[in-house]
Amino acid sequence: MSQPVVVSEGLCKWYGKVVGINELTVDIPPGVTGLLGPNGAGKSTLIKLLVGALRPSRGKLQVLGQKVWRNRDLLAHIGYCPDHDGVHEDLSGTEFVAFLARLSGVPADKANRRAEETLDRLGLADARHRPIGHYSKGMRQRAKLAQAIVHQPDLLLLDEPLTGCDPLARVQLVKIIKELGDEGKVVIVSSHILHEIEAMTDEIILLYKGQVLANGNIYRIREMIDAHPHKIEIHCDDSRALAKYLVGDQSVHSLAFSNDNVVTVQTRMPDQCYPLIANAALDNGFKISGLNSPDNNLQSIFKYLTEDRSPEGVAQRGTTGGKR
Amino acid sequence: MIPTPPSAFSVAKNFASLSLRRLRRSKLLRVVIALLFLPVLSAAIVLISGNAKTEFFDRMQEIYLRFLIPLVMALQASATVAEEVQQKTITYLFSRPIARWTLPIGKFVGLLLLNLAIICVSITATYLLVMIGEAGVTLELPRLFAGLLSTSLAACYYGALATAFGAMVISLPFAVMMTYVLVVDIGASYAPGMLKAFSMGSHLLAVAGRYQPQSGFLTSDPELSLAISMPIIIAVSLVWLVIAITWVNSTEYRTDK
Amino acid sequence: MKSAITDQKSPIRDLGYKPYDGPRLSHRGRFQVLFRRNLALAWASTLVKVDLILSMFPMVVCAVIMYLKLAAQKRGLPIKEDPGLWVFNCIFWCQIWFAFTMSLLVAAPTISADVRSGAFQFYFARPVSRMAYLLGKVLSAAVLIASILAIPGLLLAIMRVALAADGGDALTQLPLLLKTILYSVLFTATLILPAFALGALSRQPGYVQGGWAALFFLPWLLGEGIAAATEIPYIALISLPTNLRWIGEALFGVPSSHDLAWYWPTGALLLIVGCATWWVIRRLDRVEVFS
Repeated sequence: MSQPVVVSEGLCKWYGKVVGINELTVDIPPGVTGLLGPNGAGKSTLIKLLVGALRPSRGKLQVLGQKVWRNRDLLAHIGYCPDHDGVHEDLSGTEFVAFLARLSGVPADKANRRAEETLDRLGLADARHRPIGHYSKGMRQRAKLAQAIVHQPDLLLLDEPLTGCDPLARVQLVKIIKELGDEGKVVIVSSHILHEIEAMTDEIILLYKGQVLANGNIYRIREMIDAHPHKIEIHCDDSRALAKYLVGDQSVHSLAFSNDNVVTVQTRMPDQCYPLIANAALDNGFKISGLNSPDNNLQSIFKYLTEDRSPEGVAQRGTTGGKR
Repeated sequence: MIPTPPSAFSVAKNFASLSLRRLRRSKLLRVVIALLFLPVLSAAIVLISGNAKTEFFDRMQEIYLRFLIPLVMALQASATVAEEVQQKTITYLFSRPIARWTLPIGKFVGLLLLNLAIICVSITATYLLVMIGEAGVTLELPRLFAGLLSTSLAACYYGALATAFGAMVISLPFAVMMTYVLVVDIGASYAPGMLKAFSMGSHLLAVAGRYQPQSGFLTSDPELSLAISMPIIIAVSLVWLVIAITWVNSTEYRTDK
Repeated sequence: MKSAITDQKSPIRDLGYKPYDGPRLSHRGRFQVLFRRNLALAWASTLVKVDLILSMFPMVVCAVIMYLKLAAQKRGLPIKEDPGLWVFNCIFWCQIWFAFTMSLLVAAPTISADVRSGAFQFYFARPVSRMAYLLGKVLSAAVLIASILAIPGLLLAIMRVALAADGGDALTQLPLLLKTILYSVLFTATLILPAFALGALSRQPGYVQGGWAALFFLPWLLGEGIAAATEIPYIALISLPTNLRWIGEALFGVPSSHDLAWYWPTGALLLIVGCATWWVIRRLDRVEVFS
């Protein structure tokens, strides 16, 4: 599938005077995509629009080439795991998942078996006959994920799927989500926890106040944030000599020393700067014991784009960091 | 392979069986049965006291029609949609390839069939206890059938009303529905003149053969009978169901409020 | 703990934390916070406001009729005037519906709604006693229900005193005010405490409301029916509205159709209300705070 799975143009959703989504124009490609943003950014609103739980106030939204609102046939291709904790607490895990599987069109004679297989896959083999009301938070999350995948949908919408899970459960669920992506499913995962998204995917959409700030590959987005040059932290035995070597090159924007052995280079041209550092080590014998980029990650992207946002900044219509 | 979306009938059946299964596990079913057997208990007490008369059955029938059946149907059917929204489980249901109207209708049909069974047993038992007690009176089967018909129609009407209120009013649907029943259905049935025609309570009494029109100085009550009232009750019930269907189909139920 | 804060080598650095040593409200006044909060919450509901406004209409009708009767009496027409009957009819036959609806909205579902939403863990993780919690809830519901019952009755009674022919007549009618207050207080307690007792039984506000409607109306309908059929009036004592009616008839001197002395319905009512109060206090004392 090379066509975008989700296409939106000028999408708006408001609740009375509160704007949830504001002129959102984005195409979501196949694969695992992280939907990122602070609380109130519009992640859940967007996901609910994608699953047809909310009607768009304005604009165009298509999922798998079809309109969403009141489109029953499309829902057969979608699996949705909501962010809230509400479940039918008196039903057992198997009953809950099997009932929803039947509503998705799985024949009654197969629904129970499929429910049990899915629950087993998610580590609920021992608990599947107990009422969900007796489950722990992590088990409930798994039960919710089970109902989303039991009918093997093409598109999975997971709204904060790791909320309330302990670290072990998080690791297991992240692994399962990545497996689902590897199986060819389209997975859109929303979270406000950056390292969770980083663990699952490199492709993100960053939302802020109902608008897209950036979308695409994390690292390409980073490259394009010109207002904040890349930082490269170099641990070297003779940092001043290294700095002297580097300062003449046009790719170096500035240098700073945090202590005798560490020099931090800021550059707007990381593709030129990294080979320069490597050449410096080779040609001059500098002993470089460490090299890292402290702000080449999602947290820094998030910080730069949300805190430094200005009309002249990079966030006019979203920074597109390359599409697949 | 993506399963084909299920038919509306099978979805409605699933909802009916889910609501019955959950009802069986909850205390509510026991409460409903206890409530519907209170007239039977009353008839037994009256029988033991040796004062059982047909008028007592008529009085019990009025209690069934004016209060008991609206109460039990409101308790169960007003939660069909409202409960799912309050528990936030509606997100699972409406993210499935189903017609939304199957939720209220499926649950309504399931609850109606169960309650009809309980109501019929209850009213028959009440009738038999009263008739056993009243010496020298033969079993008036038409009276019993009128009672069964009127209570069945009452269950159908109040179930439809509760389903509609449960779809439209998410918080306190029971209180809103009971207020409507007290003011409109019951209150209007005590009002003079043509206002009685707007009260389903009057029509249900007409089906039961208990409606007595009165003529006053300025007003006269409408002439209601089985032939007039039964189609009206069925039609109004269908109207409420259509309201429930239309509302559910067009509303976006928010669970984040 | 003090030395841990001040000791420079300890892992807890002193960042200037100073414990609060300002004034604190007395524990005894905590219920007032809950009372104000619950009243504000109830007042925010449209249904509550509609119920309160509509409840004033019957009083207007009764006042007009009472005025016309008094005016006709002053003109010498042979109209029997019975102000006690009017106040009683206004409270029992008119205001009861609005007061019951109010108890359905503000009394029955409040405790179960708190249990369901997990509010107990916020209330009782603070120095708030179960009694303060209950008092705050009960008083807020009582204010709303009593205003539906007492205000119309008192206004009618005051109107009757104000329209008295002379000072002697006015003095004769003064006890009507006390009777109205007493009856309204008893009526309010009857509409609140059993509703709260039911609310302490279930986590589902809808079921509590249904149970309260059943408990209020079914014994009334069935109890009076069985009592009439068996000619045993004591059976009707299971009904709260029947007891209230008989007490009201005795208090206001209204002719009644039964032969029971006033202490029978009074005793039955106090027993039911007392048991309900005991039950709700016991349930609240034993409930574990859970999410």
